[in-house]
Amino acid sequence: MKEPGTILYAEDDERDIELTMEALGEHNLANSVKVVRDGEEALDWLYRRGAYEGRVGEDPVLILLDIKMPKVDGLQVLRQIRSDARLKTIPVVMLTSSREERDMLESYQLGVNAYVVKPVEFEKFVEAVKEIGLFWALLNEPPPRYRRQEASS
Amino acid sequence: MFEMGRKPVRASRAAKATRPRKRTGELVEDVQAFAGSEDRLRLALEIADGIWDWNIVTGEVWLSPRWLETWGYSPGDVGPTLGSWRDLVHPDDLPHVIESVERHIAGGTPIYEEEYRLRTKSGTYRWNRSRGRLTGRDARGRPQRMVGIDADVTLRKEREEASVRGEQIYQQLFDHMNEGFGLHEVICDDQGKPRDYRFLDVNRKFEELTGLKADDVLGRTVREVLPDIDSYWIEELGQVALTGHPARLEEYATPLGRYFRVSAFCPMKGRFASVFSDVTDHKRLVESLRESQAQFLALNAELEHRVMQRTVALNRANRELEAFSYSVSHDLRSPVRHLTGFVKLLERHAGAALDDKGRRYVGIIADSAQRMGRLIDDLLEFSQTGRVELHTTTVDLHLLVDEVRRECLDGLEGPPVVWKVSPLPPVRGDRSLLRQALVNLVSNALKFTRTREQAVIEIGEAPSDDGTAVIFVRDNGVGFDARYVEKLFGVFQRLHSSEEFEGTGIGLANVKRIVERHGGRVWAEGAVDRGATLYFTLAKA
Repeated sequence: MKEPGTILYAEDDERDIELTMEALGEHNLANSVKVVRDGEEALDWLYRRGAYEGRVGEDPVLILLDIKMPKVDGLQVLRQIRSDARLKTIPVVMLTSSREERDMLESYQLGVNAYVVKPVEFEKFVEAVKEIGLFWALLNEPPPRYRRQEASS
Repeated sequence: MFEMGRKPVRASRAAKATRPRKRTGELVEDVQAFAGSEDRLRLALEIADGIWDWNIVTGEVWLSPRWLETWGYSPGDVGPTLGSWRDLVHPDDLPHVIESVERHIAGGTPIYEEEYRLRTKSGTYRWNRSRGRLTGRDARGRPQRMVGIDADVTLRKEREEASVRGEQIYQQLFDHMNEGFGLHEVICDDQGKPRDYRFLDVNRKFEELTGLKADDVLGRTVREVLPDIDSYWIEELGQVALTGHPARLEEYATPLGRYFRVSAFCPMKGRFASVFSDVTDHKRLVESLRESQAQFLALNAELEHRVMQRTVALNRANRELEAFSYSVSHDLRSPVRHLTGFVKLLERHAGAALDDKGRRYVGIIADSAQRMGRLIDDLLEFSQTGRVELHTTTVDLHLLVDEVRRECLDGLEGPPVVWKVSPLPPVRGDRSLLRQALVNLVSNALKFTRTREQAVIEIGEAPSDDGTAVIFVRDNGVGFDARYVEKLFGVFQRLHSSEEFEGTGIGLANVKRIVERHGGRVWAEGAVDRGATLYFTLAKA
């Protein structure tokens, strides 16, 4: 298994973050996670602006987005990522409480890679997070650009 | 007298030879006397269609050549007797001709004058105007002779008849026409403006429609007859008489309390004729129609307004409901998830430090949280079932049931189930919703037969009397108390404790909602410990 790249995780709920980190920690993925608290911070981080001006490091290998967040919500972040030539190839997974059809529909229309409803049962939740982390951050072959970056770094 | 004249005709045949000469002389004398002057005689002879001379004593009748010619006869065609003449007179006219002659001879008339029909040689009858005079009596005053002139007046007679007939026709038309008619003369004031009009003629229908008698109106003016007459009648009808332009009007006549539709025209300057009908009933009908139309429109507008208001309210309620369910979906699930998650973490973290009681409490918290999570998920699903759009297609129910059976059996432990599935018809519906309903029904059947030694689940089509598909799912499970059958399909209604059978009580409510959204019905039959049968109807494809 290769070294995991950075996972950008946007989530406003403290407890969800803790549970998610717990789940990722069970699979040694917690260290590579960058947590941001809303959509705006997520975009700042991605674009290295505001608080993240001058951030060093690469673009994430995976972005986990909650849908319902203050200021800029997950769907808006997704829309921005997908309309950006540099970011649009990064896998994005919606990790959300919502079962709402319209959220799901909109997410897929915007080109989300996976849509995961956070299960109520903790075991299932852990299972889901593990699968996401393993698949997207470790197993999935990233688009060629990353390999070039890896090679050059 | 004609009878008495016959004998002498036969008796005096001997005198025949001398008669024509003698007669002509006498005739001229007589005609002279009759016509009064020589000029007149000449004129009479020229114009006259023929002369006749009747010897009353002998019964002989002499007819002039012109007479014969006039009626189309040749000399010798008509015998010189009264009988021959009589044969030529139209039988219908004969009696009054004879009567007229007798009256004259009796001295009742200075001149005999009669018009009657005479048969011509061709057999047709023509009108004869016959005039004559008794010219001689014997010493005892007995009539001796009568002379006269006949003329063909058929043409005049026909014209007269036609004219009389024509007049009769017009009179009849006038009196029998279905419209009122009146001829009027306008009366103007100093400025030449119509101020009144006089009735010159009215027909029978006029009397009927206005209720006025011809005798009471003719020669009088409308203001005399109807002092309260609305002035527009006089103005508008007066204009017709003055300008000669015809007009149509439909107005109310206040003194008569009726509406009249009038067509007025000007037959000669200063007069107008009006042809009119009573349109009161029609007018009232139109008015009441208009009224009810207005009422209808007002009602309609009100109804539309109400529908709009309701729609607005409904839309608002729908939006609120959606916002509510969205918020439930997001915000209510999170704390539950945190509960389950952190209880689990607590168990891991401090499980060893807890005593049995403590572990039991943690277990209860975990179970309750999970149960709450399921309730929320079921409720959301139920709410979505009601809101989601239907995508109706033809659904192969049989195939769908197979699919659902496999899905429900997946991972299920316990003794094998005996399935009795008879062929199911294709139906019209939303496949994913129908699938959801079937999953609910089949998993219910599986759940409630779990305690049976041998679970038997039957799925089939029941007979239907209205052409819809009636589908049933029957099990030999624990059944239910038929007294509570109406609770079966309620939200969160359960007929068994959750210790006996797990579940949130939303499954059948969902089935009912799905079937009803398809326009179908659901019902159930069952008894405690005797199994349950759930029915639903769908439109056949």
